[in-house]
Amino acid sequence: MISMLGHWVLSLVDSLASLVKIIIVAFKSFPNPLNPGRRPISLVFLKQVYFTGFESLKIIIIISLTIGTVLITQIISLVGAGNEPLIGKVLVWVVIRELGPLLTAIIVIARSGTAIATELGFMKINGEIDSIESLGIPKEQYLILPRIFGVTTAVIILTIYFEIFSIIGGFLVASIGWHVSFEKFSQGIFSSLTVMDLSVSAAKSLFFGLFLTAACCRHGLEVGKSATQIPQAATKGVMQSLFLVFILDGIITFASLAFRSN
Amino acid sequence: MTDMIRAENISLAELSGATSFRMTGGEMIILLTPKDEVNVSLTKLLIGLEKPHSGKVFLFGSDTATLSERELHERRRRIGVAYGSGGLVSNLKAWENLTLPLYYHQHLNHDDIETRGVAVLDRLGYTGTLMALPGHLTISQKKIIGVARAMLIAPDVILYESPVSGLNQEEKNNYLKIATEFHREKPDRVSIFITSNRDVALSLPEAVVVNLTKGQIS
Repeated sequence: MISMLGHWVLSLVDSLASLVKIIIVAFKSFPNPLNPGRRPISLVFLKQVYFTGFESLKIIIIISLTIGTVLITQIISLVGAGNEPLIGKVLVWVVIRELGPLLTAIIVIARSGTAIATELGFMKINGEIDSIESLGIPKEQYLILPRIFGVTTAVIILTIYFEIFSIIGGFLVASIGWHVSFEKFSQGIFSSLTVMDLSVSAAKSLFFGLFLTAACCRHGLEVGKSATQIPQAATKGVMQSLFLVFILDGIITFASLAFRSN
Repeated sequence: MTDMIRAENISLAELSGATSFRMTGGEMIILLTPKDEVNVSLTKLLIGLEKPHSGKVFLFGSDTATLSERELHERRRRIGVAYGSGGLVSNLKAWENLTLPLYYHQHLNHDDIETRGVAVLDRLGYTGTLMALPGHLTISQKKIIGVARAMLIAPDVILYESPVSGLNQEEKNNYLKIATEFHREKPDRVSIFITSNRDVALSLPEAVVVNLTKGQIS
């Protein structure tokens, strides 16, 4: 039992180390500003931001409005309509610190993570990655770097949208259902919101974006010669990304609490 | 004269026995393989994408096994590879595939790249659409875009992998005629045809044939 646990921990550390390596290699392969290669890399980056960020916006807005509505309904039913400071505090705690970055990352994993792992796996099987390398173009620079930075940028922006629309959804239901004024509602939010809360949210989005893309890229590039490995790579990429997102969420939350208490 | 590519006692899983050959500037060589499956592996071996089971491959005088990834990429920029399947990137349109190496490696403006791209396609007689993804192109159109991409960078070495597979007789003759003309344009250019089709040797009488099935040079 102990040896199995040890094995699992070692494989987890090994897996994390390989993802960190992918992220470091992506940073290292950042093109020189004078390098003409930045043009095609920028194009891949913009396509990734468009696909992950812009095309997910609709679903993010719908989910965030719903979450805001549900949360405010639950909070008011628990503490009553006249307790705006507490409503604001709980909303900031739940949406800004936790649900915003976490749910955004989960939506991005479901949508773009699978797409990245599948696309890279397909390219590997078709020999397209070798073809790119034979043009003297490093795969880390042309395929991984723009995807990692594109998805991370999109996750950060989508998290901001998620948090704003959750609060809007919460205000709408509080205003219509319990006649809470905008002034009191916003006072409740802004009196609880600190720079630390926003920093924690931004840090979570950043790390979720980097690691979920690295995990999906890794599994996509690990596809061998069989087409049946492509859906397996997508599944492994999604599962590892989800696992990492929850682990990182715990680590960042714990670190921020330790920082606050000092 | 320095060897552009030299193979010393290399062996592949698909080849029986070890083979050696060398290519100096200006040479046209046909590497005759026992079957098409070997062609891609051999192409990858010659440009340092794969390591040989045994033996050594020297690219512009350096052993590929000792070169860093960066050094290999620098050397590959001097090599054009025309894959049998076209070797196109599936999420890039035909035009984007064609111009990718120019945008990536050269400081040229859009107009210059467009002029060069259109010129090479006209030369190859490409009549297909340029704004379609490779999945919508025929095999011969994919091959033409692949060859055009290889020619566009004016390489010192050009590798044609399975050059005539999937082409009809007229397309084969045209392909080999253009490849021969392209070879003559630069005095030191090395052209390598990796094929299992013996007719290629008959169509290119000036080429040296290395028979990898027997390890003979004729």
